[in-house]
Amino acid sequence: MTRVIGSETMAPRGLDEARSTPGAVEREVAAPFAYGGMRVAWVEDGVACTTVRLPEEHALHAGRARPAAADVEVEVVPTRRPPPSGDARAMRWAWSGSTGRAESGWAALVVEQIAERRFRVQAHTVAGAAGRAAILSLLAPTVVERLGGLVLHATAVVLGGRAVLFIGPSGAGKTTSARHMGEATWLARDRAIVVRDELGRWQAWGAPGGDDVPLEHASDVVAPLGAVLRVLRSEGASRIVPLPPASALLRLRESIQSGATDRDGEHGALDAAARLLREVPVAAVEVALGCRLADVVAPFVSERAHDEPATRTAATPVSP
Amino acid sequence: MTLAPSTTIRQSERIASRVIDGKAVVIVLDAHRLHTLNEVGTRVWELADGRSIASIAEALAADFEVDRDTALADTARFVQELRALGAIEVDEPERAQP
Repeated sequence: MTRVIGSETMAPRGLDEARSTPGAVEREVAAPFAYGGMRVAWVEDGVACTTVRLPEEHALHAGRARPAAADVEVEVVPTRRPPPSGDARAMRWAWSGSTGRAESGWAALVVEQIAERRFRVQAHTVAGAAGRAAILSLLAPTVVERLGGLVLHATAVVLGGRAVLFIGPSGAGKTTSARHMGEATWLARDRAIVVRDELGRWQAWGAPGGDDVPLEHASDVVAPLGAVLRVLRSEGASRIVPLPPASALLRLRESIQSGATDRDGEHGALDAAARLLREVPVAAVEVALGCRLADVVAPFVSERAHDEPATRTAATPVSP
Repeated sequence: MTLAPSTTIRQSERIASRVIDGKAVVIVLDAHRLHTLNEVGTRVWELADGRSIASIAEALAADFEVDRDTALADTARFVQELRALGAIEVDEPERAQP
């Protein structure tokens, strides 16, 4: 089986062939963490392909202040197992030291964390897009958790160059809130990944998965995290409502899509949430239908923003 | 049934918790339930390391300036709640036969 040594480049068209020999970069693969968050090298049937799909202007930004959360090297060993069905996230990871394993009827995955932000994955599963999408959806939470980050059930938009996440149970009004954000652009429609980068700043990007977000529709954008807001419906005016820290931690934990079921995993998720709470504004937002929510959220985010430059990206407007 | 003061309690192995700003957030893994405890409840939670209810009540009486009987009754009641949630393991002394 051919192996890729090292991961891909931020400029796919300029990929140094020596870095991917003896395989050839034959196609791009959309991946949930391919855009600055985590760089993925992929080997399938002995052929290497890159996963970079980064807007040019973001690449420029990333070149200066690149999130560079992790390198993930995935080697696929095709099997005759049936294609994945159901929710890949239902598979649970068991970690022992630096090695994590997950297995189901359609796949067996082994992840080895070979450095703080570097992972090697061997996936025994069906080849092709179905297997690839399922593997990446499954990998994202466990790799993110090992990095001290979180996968959140959230809609997210980019407003003024910063990510604003709306959390809450299904039906709380997350999507409605995003659609009330005026000039903001979509970042995540159902799942958002947040990871603290090497410079100590939280970065957010969209992950595929959920009810209606296939892999190919995942956002290309990565943005510094400006705020996390728990959505509450309101009959009055829209407004930001402070949350006591314990309540904020509870709200965050409610929205974490954890791949862990054991005590260590839960403690890890709580620690990550508590750290995020210390470093990023987390509050509730009361949303009145028909309001210009951006007018309420923008001042809240900008008043609390750190002094790093905001990401500028071209993305999909949230307005229908 | 009221728990005896000598009953000892310990945080369950199947929970995860963190104290933030003086309040505990407790996750009961098997029930997939989240709970927050108030200041007094958090103190009980922190002391649930194999101590007796009487010992914990004594600490509460000192920390929160309540009389010992009130602290004991409140602690026993709260321990029952934590037990019902599956958050603690309770070791009751054998009761004397009538």
